[in-house]
Amino acid sequence: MKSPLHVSRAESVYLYEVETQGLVLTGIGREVEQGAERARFERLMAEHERLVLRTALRLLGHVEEARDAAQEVFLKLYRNLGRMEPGRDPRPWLYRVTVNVCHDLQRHRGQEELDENQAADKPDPEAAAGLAEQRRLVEAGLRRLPEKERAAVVLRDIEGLTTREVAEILGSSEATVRSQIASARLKLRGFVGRKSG
Amino acid sequence: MSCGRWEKLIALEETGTPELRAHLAACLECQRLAEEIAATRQVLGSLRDPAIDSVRPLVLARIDGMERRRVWWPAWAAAAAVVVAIAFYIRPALQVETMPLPVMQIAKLAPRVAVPPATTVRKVRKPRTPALNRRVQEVKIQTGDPNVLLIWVMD
Repeated sequence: MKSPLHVSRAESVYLYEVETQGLVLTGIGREVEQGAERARFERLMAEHERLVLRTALRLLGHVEEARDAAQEVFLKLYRNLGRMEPGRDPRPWLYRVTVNVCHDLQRHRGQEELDENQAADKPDPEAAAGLAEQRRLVEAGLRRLPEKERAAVVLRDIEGLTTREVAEILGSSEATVRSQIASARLKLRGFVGRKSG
Repeated sequence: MSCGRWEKLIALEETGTPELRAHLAACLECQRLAEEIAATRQVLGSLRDPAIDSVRPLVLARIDGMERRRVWWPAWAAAAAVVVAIAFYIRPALQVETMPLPVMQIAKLAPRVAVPPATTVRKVRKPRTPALNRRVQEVKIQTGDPNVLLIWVMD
């Protein structure tokens, strides 16, 4: 027995009979192969999970928020998989959706959370004065950047995208993205310089 | 030319112009800026591999939950659609070629229809092309899932 309404997404069409209380009704149902779609989704998630998590973490600055954001991104991918061309590079779409999901999450952040982050920026006297401390300071500096500058510099300098790719993902012009990146780098350099003493 | 004018180009590491190269050769402040920008970019690049646990199990669990819910409610919506289709069929004056019910109506109708537990569904055969001289009435109902379209064909 197969329900005509079990999953969806394929092109096989069958006639179905629904019998209820002595009445037989005939209809046409469209049935889909879910197995192939599910496998494709899992493969995409395995390939690009680090990309999404890493980008979300640098945009949000919180591990748990980044994990929440990544889940939302992949659920959106699952819902939209049927509309995505197989074989097409999904990374621009993933970056764009990650930025948007993080933007939505940030809008719900309260001032209390921002103050918490600032408290965590205090230099750690125990930390080795080396790359670890530099990383900590740069991470703190990233959290302080305006959202758009942070997105631009994360995509450019952490994800390694070109300015043009960043502009396409953010829906901005290249000139705007260049200004945002320059501003972000100068601010980060200033922040790290001040905190390093 | 003052240093301020070169700041943006130095921040973008676009130091290839002869004029800027000459300025950098002469200005210690801008040299230091260029070095610090390069160092900051290097640290940014090292942030590519944070320690963060996979979300795959959570995502797959949520999808499984979504799929389980998706199997159940369309059955109710289908039963509601059957009732509606029968109602139109037995109303002699009404000519309905297609009846695209809004998605929200389907969701509202579904819970009110009691489907008897004895309902059985059988897959009969693949569709045949309707004969051209037969009058076929077709009712199409788009469900909340864009991939699920109910088509009821009545002779």
